[in-house]
Amino acid sequence: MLKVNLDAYRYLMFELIDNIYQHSEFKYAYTMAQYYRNQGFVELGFLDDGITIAGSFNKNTKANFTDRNNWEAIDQATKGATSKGGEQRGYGLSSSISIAKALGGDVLIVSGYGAIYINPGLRQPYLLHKAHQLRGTLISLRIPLNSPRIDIYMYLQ
Amino acid sequence: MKFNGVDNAYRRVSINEAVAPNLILRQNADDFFDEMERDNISAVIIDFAGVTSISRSFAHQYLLRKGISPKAVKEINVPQNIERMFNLVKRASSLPPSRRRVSPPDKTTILTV
Repeated sequence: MLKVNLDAYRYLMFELIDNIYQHSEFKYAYTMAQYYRNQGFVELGFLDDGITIAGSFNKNTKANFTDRNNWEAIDQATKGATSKGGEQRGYGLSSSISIAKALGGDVLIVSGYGAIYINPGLRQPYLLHKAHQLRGTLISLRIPLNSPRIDIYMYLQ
Repeated sequence: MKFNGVDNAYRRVSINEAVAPNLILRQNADDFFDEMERDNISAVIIDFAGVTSISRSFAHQYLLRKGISPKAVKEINVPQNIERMFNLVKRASSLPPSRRRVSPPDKTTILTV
């Protein structure tokens, strides 16, 4: 079943790994993938100990995200905002989310004091207590195994 | 064989062997061009035979570096899916800057955990 959307899985892995190198200034980073045949989904995970999404915006742009609105930085990043210059930057995360949603999947992004959960019908932001902050960024995707075949290029425009 | 009208003054590079069958990281594209531009040969043919996939990030950086490279660069044996990604990036590059706007946050309840 995964072979049906091999292009999509490759795209998700490639872009989200490249984002870690481009934005996070990590010391350690991890990727994981787990195939849950009985439960009917695949999970992909990307974790780094870097400067967080808000931290990257604050460092490289005129943004001034605080602990209270880290979730806004994540929200902006998922919609294509970028901390890098150039008009052709910022597509990696937003297009990855578009593809994950097209596959019927869920996305959870946790970074610093903020988080956002996205599925095809919902976009829910969270503000994290200090005790629950993540010193880095986590992106987790859960993709159903019975996803319809998609043409990823339709979601990369 | 002539390339851009110059006989035997070109170098042929397999990007599959020089980088990988899966072209992923933006930095890989930079490293590839840095290495390719070390010598004095003015023209390069980049052979994409054996390449199975390419990220948008790699494709974008490849085209950026190709656009400013002092060498004449030509691609051969480009698989269809690779060509599609290059075309997509080129089309997006042709859009005026005003087409890219990030919408403000949706009006929704922020949950605290």
